[in-house]
Amino acid sequence: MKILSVLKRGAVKSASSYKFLIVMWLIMLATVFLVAVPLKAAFKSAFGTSMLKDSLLGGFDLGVLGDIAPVLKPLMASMSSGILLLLLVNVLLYSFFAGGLFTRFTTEYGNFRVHEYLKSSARYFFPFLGIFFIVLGMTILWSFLSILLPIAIIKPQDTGMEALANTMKILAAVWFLGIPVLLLVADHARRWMTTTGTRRVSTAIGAGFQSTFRSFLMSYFAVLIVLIISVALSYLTLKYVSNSLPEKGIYIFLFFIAAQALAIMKLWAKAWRYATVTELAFHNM
Amino acid sequence: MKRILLLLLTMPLCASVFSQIILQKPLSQRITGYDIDVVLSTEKHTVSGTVKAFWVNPSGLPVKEAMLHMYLNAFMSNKTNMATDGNWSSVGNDGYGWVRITKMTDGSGVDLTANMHYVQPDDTNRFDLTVMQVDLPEAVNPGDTLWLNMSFESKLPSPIRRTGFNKDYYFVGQWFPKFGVYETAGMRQQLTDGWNCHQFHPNSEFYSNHSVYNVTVTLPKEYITGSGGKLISEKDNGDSTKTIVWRAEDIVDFAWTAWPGYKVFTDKWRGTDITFLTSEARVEQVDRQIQSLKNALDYLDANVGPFPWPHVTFVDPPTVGSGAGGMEYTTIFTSASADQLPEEIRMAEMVTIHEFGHAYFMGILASNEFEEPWVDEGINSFWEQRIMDHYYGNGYGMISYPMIRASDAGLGRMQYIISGTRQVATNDLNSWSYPHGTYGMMSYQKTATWLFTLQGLIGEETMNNVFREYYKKWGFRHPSGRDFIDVVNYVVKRELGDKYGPDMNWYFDQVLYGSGICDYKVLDVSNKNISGFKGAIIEGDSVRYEKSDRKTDTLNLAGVRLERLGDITLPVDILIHFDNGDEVREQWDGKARFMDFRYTGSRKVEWAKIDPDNKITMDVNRINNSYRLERGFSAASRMMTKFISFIQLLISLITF
Repeated sequence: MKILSVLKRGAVKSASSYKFLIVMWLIMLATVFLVAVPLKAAFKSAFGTSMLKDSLLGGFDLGVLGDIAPVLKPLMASMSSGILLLLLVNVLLYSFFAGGLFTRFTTEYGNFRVHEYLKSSARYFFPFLGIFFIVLGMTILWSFLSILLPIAIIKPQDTGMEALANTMKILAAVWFLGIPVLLLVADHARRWMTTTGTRRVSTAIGAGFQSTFRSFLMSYFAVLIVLIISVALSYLTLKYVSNSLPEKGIYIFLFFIAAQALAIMKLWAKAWRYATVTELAFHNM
Repeated sequence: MKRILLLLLTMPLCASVFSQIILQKPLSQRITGYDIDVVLSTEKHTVSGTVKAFWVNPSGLPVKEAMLHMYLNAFMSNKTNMATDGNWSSVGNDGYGWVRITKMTDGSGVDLTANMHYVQPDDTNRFDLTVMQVDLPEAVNPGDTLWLNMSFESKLPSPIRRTGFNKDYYFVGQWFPKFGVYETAGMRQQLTDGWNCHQFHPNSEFYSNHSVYNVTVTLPKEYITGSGGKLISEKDNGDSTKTIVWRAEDIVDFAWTAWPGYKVFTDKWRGTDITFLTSEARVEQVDRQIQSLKNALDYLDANVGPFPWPHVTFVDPPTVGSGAGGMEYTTIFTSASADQLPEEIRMAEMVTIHEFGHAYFMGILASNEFEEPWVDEGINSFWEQRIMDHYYGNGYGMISYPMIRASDAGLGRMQYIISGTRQVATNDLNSWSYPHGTYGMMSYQKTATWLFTLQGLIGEETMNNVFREYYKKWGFRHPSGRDFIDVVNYVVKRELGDKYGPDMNWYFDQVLYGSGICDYKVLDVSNKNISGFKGAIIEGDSVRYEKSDRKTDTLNLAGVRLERLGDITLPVDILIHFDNGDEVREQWDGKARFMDFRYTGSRKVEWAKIDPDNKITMDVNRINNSYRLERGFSAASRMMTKFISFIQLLISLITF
């Protein structure tokens, strides 16, 4: 019951921060547009006056790839670097906005305006970026220990693909169950930073570990539940975006709106996790 | 006639050696046969024993030598053609494979062992010992039978390259001494009589007579087996081994497999028993595998000719034996799949249909894969693609996810059109003569693509009739590519008259014997308004000239200009669409470099499309096949929306 109560309070707190989430979504969407719009222009230019593009409306026909390959090849080369740059920019943006959100959740209810949100985002940008890279490193280490190392030890060439597939399923489950711990450390570290106003990354990480294991089970299951919901949302987005084949202007626009609604919900799910962790600490659970 | 009589007299003699008959009457001349008795050693990975083989001289001349395939010797060193051209290398010293005849006698008991020597008919690689010549002390007279009794030992190679072993998995193909084909003058346009017995090349291994096989194999009893023959008996020897006897009739090669882990499933298609061997990990694919075979049987039976054998076995090799996947031995063939293969990706079905198709194109219509791989692999790929797209959906027969789809024919064509080396050679070379790694693209995909184009020109039913006639005339014989073309010419003339000229040679000269490409383009679509009418008006017998005083009248001059960019010339259709909904279908013989179509009136042309029915699959660029004045970019908008969503999802996954 305590978990449900914390989750509920976290959900309400994150939902009440909708203005900041919308600001985040808009700015991040704008950066994606910077790459998507030239892509669309290049696509138009590649097909020119040809009607072959109509055949793509029923889903991308790989057979057509042979016809468009000569024009797509140079485009794809530039796109891949564009996408990498886009991911890097968004990692920076996310670290920036997370500072504002954590400040919002660790501050008493009241007027917390957008400019205050941006101010606290700027204040914690570099420390939060540091926490991001440290926890990212920990995630890579965890992936190595939980997946790559066991596979190297069992030698798939000896066991065959069937056994490897079954082992992979078990290892993936173990890996997933370890992820909430890393998220708890990151979230508690960031919460601790905005609560105390300290900006020392290593101290914050230490505090993150300490808070994580103070009442571990409660925190773990609360974050696990939010994480499962977040993964379900990602799966829903993937299925929806993959399977939808709108053909006309208005339907494409509605498809865009629905896809963005899902993107906002994904953002909210992350904010929900931050608020839940803050609530857990607030009530010393 | 004399030769036929001799053959008829010989046949009962040969048949008496093999007591049990599967088919009511022979499908082929059966001029060769093999009675094999071997033991599989799972410790030494060898198959050793005896083979009693016969060959009937089909020619009008005495023959002084016999030629034998010794194909396992392709794996005996790192200097064979298989090793150098096929990049095969042994797993340690235990991985080399070979076949050796320890003793050979003729029917009279005369020892021929000293008369054996290896030859290299295709090249000068003296390390390639895949063809053996046996000099006979006495010539075999026309119609006479040569008997060879051989003791032999075959060591299987590892890693498996179509044949071989891996741990306890065995796929045993090309494993015993087998006669080449003695071709008589005129057969396959040969000028003189002689043996046709090529070395084992990485990309080709089939050209043999239809034969009768009696095969006895003794092996550890825990092994589960399958073969191209019908199971005659299986006996437990009481010493942890068992002995299996198979018989096969009128097939060109005999292969078998053994593995303790096989799961066996059986089914029936009309009068044919289906046996499917797979692994525990792929049991959930059994239904789709067997259904794909039934689809191929139905389709080829209806459109080419009947499947004549009462048994067929196919194998989905497990991961441990994956090197054996995708091979054809007529009444046994191997599919290829992967564990947990999604149903939307029909790789397993495609390979099953393709390899089964070889029962027709190589098995029944026993062409020479070495010299004319397009007749074997190309024609078979054409039918595989037709079957896949017929049963699993035109446009998504191979992959059918909502977002990504692909037809089997589309993917095949793609491999041809994107190839940077598509013009480096003609399509009629020996399998080992294709330059720059073009064998696969040329033999399989270019051929299938131009066969689809041929079908587009002459129509599907005429195409089916071509193959029905080909089957009827050349079934259980050895057709050449030229023989196939003759059938095309005959059937097209019979059904379409002179629509495409006196014959279709002009077509094959371009696509098979030429290396050009086909590319037609809509160069321009235009509308020009001419305001103020001027011109001559004919009224009965009188002509009056109109001045330009009717400013409100306008006349539209619509034009469509086409261009031929490639060397190949084909008749093409053009569909022209006007703003009032009218559509005009024009025809162009495709020979000139440019072609203009003009229309006057009030209607304006909106778009034009070359080959609107996608018949000319040979066209290497379909982007330029159409031209629309008003650009609609729904596809681009949707693609951009999806791109944005996927990137957002990716960002969401990498941030926390």
